[in-house]
Amino acid sequence: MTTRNPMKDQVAIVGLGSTGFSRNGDRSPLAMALAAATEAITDAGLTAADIDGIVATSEPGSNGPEEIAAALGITEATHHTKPPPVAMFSLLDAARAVFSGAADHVLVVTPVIMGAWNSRRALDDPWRRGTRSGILPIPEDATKAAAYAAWASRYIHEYGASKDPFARVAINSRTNAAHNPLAAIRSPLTFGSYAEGRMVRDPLNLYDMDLPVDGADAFVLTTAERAKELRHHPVLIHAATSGIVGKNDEDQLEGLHRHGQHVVVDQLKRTSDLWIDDIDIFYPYEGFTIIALGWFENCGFCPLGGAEEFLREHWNDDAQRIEIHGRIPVNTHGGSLSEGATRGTGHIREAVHQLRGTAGPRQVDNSQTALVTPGGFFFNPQGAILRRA
Amino acid sequence: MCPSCWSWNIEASEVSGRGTIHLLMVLQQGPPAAGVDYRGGHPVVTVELAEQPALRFTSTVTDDYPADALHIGAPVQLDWINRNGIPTPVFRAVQP
Repeated sequence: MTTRNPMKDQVAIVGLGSTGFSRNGDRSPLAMALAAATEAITDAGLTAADIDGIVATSEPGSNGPEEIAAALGITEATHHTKPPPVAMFSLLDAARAVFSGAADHVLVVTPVIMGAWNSRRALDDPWRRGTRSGILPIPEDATKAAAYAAWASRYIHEYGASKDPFARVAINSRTNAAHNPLAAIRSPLTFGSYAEGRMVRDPLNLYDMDLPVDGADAFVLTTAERAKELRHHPVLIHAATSGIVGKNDEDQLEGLHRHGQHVVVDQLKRTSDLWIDDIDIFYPYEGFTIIALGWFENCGFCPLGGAEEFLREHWNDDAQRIEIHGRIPVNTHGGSLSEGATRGTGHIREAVHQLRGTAGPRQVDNSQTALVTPGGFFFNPQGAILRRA
Repeated sequence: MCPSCWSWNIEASEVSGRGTIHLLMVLQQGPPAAGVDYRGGHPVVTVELAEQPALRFTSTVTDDYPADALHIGAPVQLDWINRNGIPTPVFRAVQP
């Protein structure tokens, strides 16, 4: 395993754009991607002429970098890729392009749509019905998204957990979403309503699963040097990685004690000068509540199976949210459970807003360092330490 | 969105259908397609429309298109034919 990290603090996230997220979207993935992309480029203080790299996440229904380049009026590009979904694949690709010299100013754009595989309402729309990529077997088995319900029951069995820690992850996200104008749902969630939530994939109910939404996020990355000349205070990628274990099929995973999240954590610890005692904000992905429990435990905030006690202990009852050591808030934007299912772009965008001081009513004072961990247990665990320059 | 100025205040505007052949090929074989006969060659033309440089539209030509007028630079005009019940835009030859 590598201990090298020559990219440490060399690449900056300098532009952010987002359409916000909606359960009633009426724009095409291209229109949403362009709205987010132009906002991100403008936010960085750049124009189309500056962009020479385009990373267009390959989401269902999305457009490739060649179409994005044409639609944005980009003159020429020397890096143009379409990584698979889940945020960090695209951010890592863009960062590595900048660091290697493949391109100077790289745009990342990720549109998401309510699809026929995760939204019953989407099945009524003939166009959405056509975007069948990622659709689940009927009836579902323990693959794809449904695997998280299967592993949630294993988690409850192995550690004697109740649904309490699951509820706290969901409620925390909803509490924080109230202050995020981009969020799809901003009404509060109580322990009572969580307990009464419609059971979908027992033991996971409606509130344990992220919200299918329409929307798009976009980012602009450049070198740390170039970032000093741009509009916002630069946010640097200190360490970042993805990780898998060899045996990563959903139902063949060795166990909750060893999967891709552990690989990510080990790699970050080997390559980062900063770790959980140094961070000010934490963004554990919670496309399913069980995934966030994994991140708390596997990052070392508490032992395996210890999330129930940990979250109860670090719960701010007045605020109805998680505050680790009374200091570190979690998923301050409302996460995938309440802002919407961005597959982690929301977590990264919010961390950057916080670190550069543009988080508005959600601003956490003096945020210098963030840990962001998109992805689940199987094919897409990812993590990054971001820091204010 | 306008790729030049990023304005969302855009609308479709009508074009004359006049233009010149910019790209040309003649398919001598291909997968079976309704209303397409490869035996005499099936022309595919990309026409640069009169309204604006590099504004192009790709289709084929009318069945009675004269062979000596099928060349790059030839002036053409959009026409609509009925191909297997489907209105289809194609180009016909016009006098230079």
